[in-house]
Amino acid sequence: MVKGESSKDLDSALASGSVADLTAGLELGAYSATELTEACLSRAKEAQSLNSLITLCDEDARIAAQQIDKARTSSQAPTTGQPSSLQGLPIAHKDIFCTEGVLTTCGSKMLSNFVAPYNATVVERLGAAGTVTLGKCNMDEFAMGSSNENSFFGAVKNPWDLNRVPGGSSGGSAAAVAAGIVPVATGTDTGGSIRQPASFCGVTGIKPTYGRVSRFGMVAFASSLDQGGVFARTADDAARVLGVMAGFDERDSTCAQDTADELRAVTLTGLETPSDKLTIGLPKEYYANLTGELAKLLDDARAVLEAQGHSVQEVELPNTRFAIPSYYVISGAEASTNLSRYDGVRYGHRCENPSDLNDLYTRTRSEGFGAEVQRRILTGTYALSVGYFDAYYLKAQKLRRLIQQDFLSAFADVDVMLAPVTPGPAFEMGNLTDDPVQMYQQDIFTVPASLAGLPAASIPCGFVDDLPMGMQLIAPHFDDLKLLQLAHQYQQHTDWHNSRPPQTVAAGGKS
Amino acid sequence: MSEINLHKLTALAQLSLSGDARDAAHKDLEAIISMIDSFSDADVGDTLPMSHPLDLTTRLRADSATAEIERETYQALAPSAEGGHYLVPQVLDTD
Repeated sequence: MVKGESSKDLDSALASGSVADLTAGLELGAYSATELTEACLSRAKEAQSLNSLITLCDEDARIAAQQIDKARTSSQAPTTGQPSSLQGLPIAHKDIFCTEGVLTTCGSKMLSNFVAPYNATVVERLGAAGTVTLGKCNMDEFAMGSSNENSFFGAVKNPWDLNRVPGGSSGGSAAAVAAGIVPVATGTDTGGSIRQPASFCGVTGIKPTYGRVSRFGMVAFASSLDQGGVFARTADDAARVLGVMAGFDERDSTCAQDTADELRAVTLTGLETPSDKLTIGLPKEYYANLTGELAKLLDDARAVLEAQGHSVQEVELPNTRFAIPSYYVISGAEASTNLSRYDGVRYGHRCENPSDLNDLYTRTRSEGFGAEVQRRILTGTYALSVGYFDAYYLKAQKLRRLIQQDFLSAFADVDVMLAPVTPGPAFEMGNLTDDPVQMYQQDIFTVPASLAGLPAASIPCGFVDDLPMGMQLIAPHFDDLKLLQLAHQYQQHTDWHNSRPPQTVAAGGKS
Repeated sequence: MSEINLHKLTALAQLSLSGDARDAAHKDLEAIISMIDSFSDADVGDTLPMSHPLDLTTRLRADSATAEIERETYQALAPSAEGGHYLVPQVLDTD
């Protein structure tokens, strides 16, 4: 790419360029951060009907981009064309991350007026690395949902088919990357909220090892499960961004004492392919009922990996069937506790003219929370009630350990696991809204790794009914890099990650 | 599954449901708890419960003051605050 190219070419770079390409283009002066930011803002406005962004930070983004351009112009450093950082890279943040001076709603009426007084560590670190925040991404309310139909600000549409859901809860982030509004976006994953929307929207999404990315400034849903991560077009893009986000933060008491040096290095150098031939596990419980096109896609993916010299073997995760019930007890219990802070006193929504303190609490919460959030709070309250605690919460915590032990035993024999992400492609809007239990089953393949705290990613691996599908890679704790290297190798030998939704559809032009 | 006492649950959760919303919540909650009860046959033996995926215990920070944000900054977000206090409906009788 050469300096002075047309805006059409810039649009093309934005639509298909990798993080390495985009930052190299900025470094070489092929385009400025301001031009790239304007191209993203223009794209965001074209694709407004997707409803993927609920706050556009256009003025702040322009100011940040101008400052980056000014610093670059005044710098005497030679331009090498090699990305030295993420300077000038546009990004959007899931609206669960606190952004100082900017609305942070968590997709809820409860926080619809909340302007965060500080930045989340994730936002702070990515800002310090030079990313330009374009806006905040729509999401299921308080990250509770698998379809992004639970947002107070309306549902997000899937850029591949506007009648279908983008997945959830980070549906806005996935749709924004798929539609080419931003090359990367942040998300969070509690039981699959990065991997499932990444699969439905045909992008790469990684949930790192629990504890690798700080939860400071990330609105809490289920604290022992919530983990920040990344959406991007490729594993290499995701790794470069994750390298900036990861690492110990003293402000998060659940954070791992982990410097994440190997991930940080990738931000500058990019990913390599795995140095060893890996043994890839196929969990038999995940494949037991797989048929048709999805089974064929996973077979094809396995063949691609085998062709690179890796071997596969079946592994057993016998407690898998207990993952969904355990997850909905634990996450509900933690949600009912975490969300007790929303009382109409210190911030957020407050009901009109409360008659007494109890009326203030009760009406504020009933008005501020949507139906799904109330269901989860009630489920958690039930599980924590006197007389039920041992039968539900304690039992779920014990099953959680057994589920983790299954993984640890299997990882004694294999390096990584290959599995489906979802039972099928993106479903039509409204199909599952009246049946919460059926909706919860969408998480059947993603919840186990969440309970075990393992790194897991969704990597585009083909299409079913003209809709993108992802494959799931799961790795042992702190083997995030190995997982990403394998995904990178797969993407060097396949082209699924380069598929883009039809531009007219992605822009909301037709369904 | 034990009977769901929605009145008690909503009181504990500080929520209020009425009419159709109450009926729908009751039906949904029954279905959810029934799904959860599918783990009742699981044999967990003497397995230790797991509260942190890495089995880390909560780390304590140094016991030193870190006044990073002034009270006014936080209270500016409050629906009702005055003179450094959060205002709520009267709690105690004045008689």
